[in-house]
Amino acid sequence: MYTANEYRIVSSPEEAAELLNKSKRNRIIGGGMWMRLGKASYGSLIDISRLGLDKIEVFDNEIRLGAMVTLRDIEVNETLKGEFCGALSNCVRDIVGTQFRNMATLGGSVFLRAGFSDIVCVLLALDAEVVRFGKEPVALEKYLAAPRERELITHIVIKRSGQTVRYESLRQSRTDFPLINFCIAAYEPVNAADSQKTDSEKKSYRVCVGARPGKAVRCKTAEECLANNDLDGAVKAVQTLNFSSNMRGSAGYRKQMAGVLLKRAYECPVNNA
Amino acid sequence: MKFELNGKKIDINVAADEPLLEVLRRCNCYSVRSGCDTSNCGICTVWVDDRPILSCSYPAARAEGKKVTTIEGVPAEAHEVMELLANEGADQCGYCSPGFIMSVIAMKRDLTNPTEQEINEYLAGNLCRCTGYMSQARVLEKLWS
Repeated sequence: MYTANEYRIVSSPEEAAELLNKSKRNRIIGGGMWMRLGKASYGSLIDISRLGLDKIEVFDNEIRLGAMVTLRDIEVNETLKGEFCGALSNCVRDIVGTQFRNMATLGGSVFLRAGFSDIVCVLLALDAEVVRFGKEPVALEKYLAAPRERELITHIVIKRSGQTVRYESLRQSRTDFPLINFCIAAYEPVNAADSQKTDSEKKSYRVCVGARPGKAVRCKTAEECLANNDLDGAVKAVQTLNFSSNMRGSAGYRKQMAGVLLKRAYECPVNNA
Repeated sequence: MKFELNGKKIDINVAADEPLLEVLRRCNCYSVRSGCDTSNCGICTVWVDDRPILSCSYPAARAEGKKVTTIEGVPAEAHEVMELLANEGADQCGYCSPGFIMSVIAMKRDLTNPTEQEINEYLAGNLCRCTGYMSQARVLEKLWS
């Protein structure tokens, strides 16, 4: 359990950023679900829940999700249910329970970069962008690879590219952490030169594996294999990712299951859409 | 902090790191209990602005200006579920009952004609270590029949 000297509900992103930069002990609080499980002593807890960052905005070419959108909001949002093959709304369904998902936030999940995160794995496959206050937006892939900074995430933006998406995870029991998760997104080409190619050649893929148990990563070799219709090559490629053991599964088991989930996701319905 | 608790206006001092659960118990809502204390079991379920949340993890200060409901605030609906729980032997030690009942009532308001899968998913965050869930399943069946 954490301790804190002050709890401040801020009324603007500027106020949040100023307070955050005032002391290294100050911290933005999202849902606070994981924060409370650690032992830390904070100065000011900065509550950004009244900044209007709890909206899911749908535009023609993108979907913009506020950092304080809860996992439950994502689960029940009618647009998201029908978008990205339902992968985004479905991937959160087994996270603890309804009450937990009513509190856990998207911004908190992205900031935490937890290896077990279902939604980070899907967002990575969707090539999401992280919007931070006072900074240039950054691709989630870059964001995950960079060291964590003291900053205010305001939105996550996902391009509507007609992606066909499939998410798979393995859990020892429902509501437990995934012991491995997997997301594949198939993209139709926009390049005119590609129009001469056959259907299977036209697609490009993003293949992401999370809960290795490390944080989600792309497997670019597997993506290239799939673009060339080489499923066996893609399976071998995901199995070369770095897997480790923990109480939920061994590295060897994860490695095997990564291949299984890739096949499962590729065969239905990603490649048939 | 000012908030509304079961229809009554409350003005109370809260610590920056105090969870809502502690504040509600200080307000004499003893139905609100701590179970796992790790955001997993659902025993501490209350509603904030009509949404079920885990009061053990909800920062109390965040409830400023909000409407908080515990089982004491929905006596008629709670009684209906409680009676069914008692009749089906689903309230053995009873420790998890208030949280479970708050989730069931929230679900009744949220979902229309839910499937068994939808019910299971909605209530997956409420653990009971006595019953094995079959008696609760009978309660839910009767609640919708």
